[in-house]
Amino acid sequence: MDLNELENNGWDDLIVTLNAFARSFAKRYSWFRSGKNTTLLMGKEIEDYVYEAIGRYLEAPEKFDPSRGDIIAFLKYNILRSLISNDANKDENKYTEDVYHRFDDDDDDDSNYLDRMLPYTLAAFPEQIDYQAINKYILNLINEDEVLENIYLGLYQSGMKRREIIKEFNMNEKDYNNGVRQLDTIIRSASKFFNPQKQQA
Amino acid sequence: MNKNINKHKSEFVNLILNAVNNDSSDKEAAMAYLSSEGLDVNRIVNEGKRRIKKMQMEINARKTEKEMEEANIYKQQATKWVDDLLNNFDFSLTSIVQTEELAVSFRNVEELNKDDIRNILIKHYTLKFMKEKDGSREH
Repeated sequence: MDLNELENNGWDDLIVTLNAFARSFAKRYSWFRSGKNTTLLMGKEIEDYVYEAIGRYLEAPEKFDPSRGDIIAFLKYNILRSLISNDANKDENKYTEDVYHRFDDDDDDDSNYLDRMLPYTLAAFPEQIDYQAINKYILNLINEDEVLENIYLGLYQSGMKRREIIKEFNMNEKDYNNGVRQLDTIIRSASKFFNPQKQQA
Repeated sequence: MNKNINKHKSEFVNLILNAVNNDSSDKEAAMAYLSSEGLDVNRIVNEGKRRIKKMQMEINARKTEKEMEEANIYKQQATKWVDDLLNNFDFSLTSIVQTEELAVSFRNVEELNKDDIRNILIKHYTLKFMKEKDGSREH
């Protein structure tokens, strides 16, 4: 999808998809922060980041390289980069790595846009958390619910996509959606137990 | 030990990222997610289109302004160039018309006064300098 296709009725898909991405990321990320999520949003609304990313693309569409992914992946990556760079650059954030300096020149990075998201997200999650303990805690709460276990292991260990999980484990869309919602509740609960910032708060 | 810690963190963060990407994997998934968060998807789309349209108008206005500023710089450069040419003792309009391939017939050349010649040459060199600049940008 390029600018011409977007002009011809492509904006709806892009707007909905990017708003869902930004909101979903901010919500999950905030589980691992104490209090209000001010360092992530810097006083703006979450959708402001969506339109800043779109604006940067409209201003310089030549920066998008279709060989590294589609326009949605490119914009998702840019939203993530802005949000996490904000967070990393704030003095009150003592818990994450300085991603801004680590990835300062990544315009030269030739990996695809979706792969580029992981290092940013990795650097933004606190080092002080025992992620192995979180895994055990989640598995314990899943407590042999087959659908939940399949979704969790599919996402966690295999990095499978929604459609792949549904097909592989022969479940329907409704089961998947309900399972993801339950899993979110469990992960949120795990974040309360294992997040050092929330324990100190 | 560190390698194991990194592996567990990496797997967990991948889980978060996969969940986020799944919420926004396509329009249907994204609409379902936004609705489940209690948001009005139609309002989001309409508001988004309005913001994008406003940005496009602002970007176009900035581009036009920049082009006009650039054209003005080239016109100043061309004016100086033409004035230097006209003040040159060896200046020959016929020769300039031939070397610069100006679209002026010889019958018209004889009817032009000094201001007409100056304006034609300024216009020609302004466009020439702009084309040269664009050519050097492309390379």
